[in-house]
Amino acid sequence: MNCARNRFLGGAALLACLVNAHAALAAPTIRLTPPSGARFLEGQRFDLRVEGKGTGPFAATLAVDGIPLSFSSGAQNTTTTDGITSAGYGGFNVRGFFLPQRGHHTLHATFTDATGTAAADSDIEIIDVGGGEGEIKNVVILLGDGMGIAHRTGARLVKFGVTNGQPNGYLAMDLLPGTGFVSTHSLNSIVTDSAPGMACYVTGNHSQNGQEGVYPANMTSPFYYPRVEYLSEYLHRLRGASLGIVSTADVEDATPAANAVHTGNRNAGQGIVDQYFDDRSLTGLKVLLGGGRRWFLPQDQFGSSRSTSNDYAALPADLQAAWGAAAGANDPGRNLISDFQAAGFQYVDSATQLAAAGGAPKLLGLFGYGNMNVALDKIAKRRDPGAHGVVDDYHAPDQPMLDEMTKSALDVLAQDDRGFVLMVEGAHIDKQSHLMDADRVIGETIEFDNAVAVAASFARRQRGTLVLVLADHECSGFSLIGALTGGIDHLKGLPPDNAVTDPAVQPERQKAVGVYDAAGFPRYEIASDGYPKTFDVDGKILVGFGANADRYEGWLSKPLPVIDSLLSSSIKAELAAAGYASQPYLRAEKDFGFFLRGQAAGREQAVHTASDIPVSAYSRGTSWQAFVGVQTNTDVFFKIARLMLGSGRGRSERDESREEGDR
Amino acid sequence: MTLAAVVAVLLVAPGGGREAPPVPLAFPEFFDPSPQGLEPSVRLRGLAGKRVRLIGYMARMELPPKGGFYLCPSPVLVTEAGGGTADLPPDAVLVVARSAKGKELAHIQRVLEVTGVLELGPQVDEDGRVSRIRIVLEGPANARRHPFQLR
Repeated sequence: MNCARNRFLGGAALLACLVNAHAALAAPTIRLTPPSGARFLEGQRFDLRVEGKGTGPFAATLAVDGIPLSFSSGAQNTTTTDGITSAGYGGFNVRGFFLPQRGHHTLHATFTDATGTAAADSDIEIIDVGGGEGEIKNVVILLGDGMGIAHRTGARLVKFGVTNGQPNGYLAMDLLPGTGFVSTHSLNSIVTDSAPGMACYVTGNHSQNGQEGVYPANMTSPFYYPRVEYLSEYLHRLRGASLGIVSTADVEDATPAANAVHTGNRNAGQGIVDQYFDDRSLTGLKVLLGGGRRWFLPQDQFGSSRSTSNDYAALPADLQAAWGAAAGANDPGRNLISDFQAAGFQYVDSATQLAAAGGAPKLLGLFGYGNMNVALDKIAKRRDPGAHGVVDDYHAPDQPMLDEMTKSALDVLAQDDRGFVLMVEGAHIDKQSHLMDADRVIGETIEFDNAVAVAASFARRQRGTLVLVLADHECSGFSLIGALTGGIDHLKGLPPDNAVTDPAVQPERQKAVGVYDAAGFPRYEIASDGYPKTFDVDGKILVGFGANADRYEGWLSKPLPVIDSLLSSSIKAELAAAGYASQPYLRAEKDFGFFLRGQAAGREQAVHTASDIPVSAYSRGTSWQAFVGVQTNTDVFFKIARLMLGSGRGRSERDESREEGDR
Repeated sequence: MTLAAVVAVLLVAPGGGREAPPVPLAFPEFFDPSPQGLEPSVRLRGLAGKRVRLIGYMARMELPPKGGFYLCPSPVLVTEAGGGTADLPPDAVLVVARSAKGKELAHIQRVLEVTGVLELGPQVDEDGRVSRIRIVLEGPANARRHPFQLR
């Protein structure tokens, strides 16, 4: 009834209009997941959830293609519903659902509270990828966290240089033939974080920022959120494939966890590492290498970060039953290293032990308490083992490089001929980009490329292996703006610029930026370990950050640790006694750099951007060709699946409509 | 919250019964070598509950704690990873400024000298993170100059 248009209503009709209007205004909210546009493999599992906010008691219905479904949890006409939904909401779940029929399917849900009923629809698609044996049996995803095009170019320029406009060499990832672009948006933003940024490649679904392997929900624990099955879980269930996870980050971190752990809180450290272990029979986890020892030590041991505040109580019974998931427990006293060892994992905590771990059937390596240290700091220790270094401050003096970790992981995974998924993350490309430390970013990208070389070499020997170089997003608007003019000694001798606030006064360090012709061709001397002897060379590459935070720029390598020349003698002596080298010119940049106002308001660090990222692919045969062109991040998942499960059929309508457009 | 504000509040903050001068403590003294991992040194354990003086750097954090800051042996920039603490070294000390409860402290990019009472053992802090080593700042009346001294 259109009340506004009916100017001649009687009293009863007017009253009816008002009642209906009140009901319409007060009707509950409703959220139906999966959301419209979600795509799945045939038989890939996911949870359905109808959730609403309103005034209890609550009831809900759900139908797929018009056929009503029964909820696995959620008591009708109650306020408590499934017992795990946040106060003020009602929730109803169907756990571990799947659809075998390819094509589009319509979900229709209603949610009723004391004030009325709301409805929602969702159109989802099942992609047919074959279900047989594909050309690809193993996939290695090398994920340069935050790595955009300029990060790659910077590493190439530093490692090889350019002569007369021609690069003197190429990175291993430059040489992979299948190159394309990938859009990186998440479920709720054009700018993703690492959790959905990684998860989309191995679930085919967009997640909300901060969440991995789940859809958003209002529930009492982020570990109860509606799940979507990972590639590792799907392949392990289908054919017994194994999973390997390698990262230079704390293994609790978003990217590694977004291959195996289902949680709506990427920071729930204890619960995340527990789930790696507890659900290893679902994911086929055989290799876990990185930092993060703090989560594996029992609460009473020094260095442990385990706490009830970052774990979860037992998972709901219907989730356990439908997924075959372990219940889990809130157990800060657990010794997770011992649990891994008892389950047959060999545990190593140093590069030396890792090198000696050949032949291990399963491998756990934890090389730092939190994140591992960055490449330049690890290399500095290898070059001068007797000197106190950053790695010593972290009580992890013997950390492996990412390429060494990758080789060890492949040695383990290749023992099983049922295939594997291996994710290798260069984590600090992102982290150092956040920190706007250009030299460490480039050092990290070189280390990551060495890991790409190891994987590509494996794929050249091992037919049926797909190597994919990806990023979850770009970080910092990393931009190669030119090169230093005047030499590094000149730069070190410049008077401070930190007091320059008048826009009419040009900072000395801005005058030193050589652009266009003045940039020339920077030259770095590469040591036998493959890394520059120093980044502070005459004519060093200078980097700008398009998504930067407020900062002082001095162009010199960021020195850690620092003995500030302005310190008192007694403090200097105390720091020197602790082993810090004294380099008087190395002062905090705030004392001499010029101030740059960042665009990212209120942020201490540079931020992720919405820019597309490059993908590079290699395989023997022609599988790599699938990744040429522009694609969304979730497309990558279905392309991998199609290559592993063997069918040229199963093209989504999106692909078909593209091709029609081409024609 | 600025350093000046914290110091001003601390002028009236309760102290901790500390007639004895603070004992100088250094980060390299925290742990003894142990195949089991980090084993708190006899010296560190012996100083629990006592006044100590420690020199270090305030960690610059994307997600800083409230009511204090982390003091580290070297300058550290910390991203959001691992609940915002994955870049901290394991001997990072949570410096508790009770007068700043619930507030973030502005970063200071210089060496700091901290004086206060040493606490050891796991504790879930205001932000849900677990700290192992803490120094509870004392009022400036009991500190040599003031609780954390810009050097």
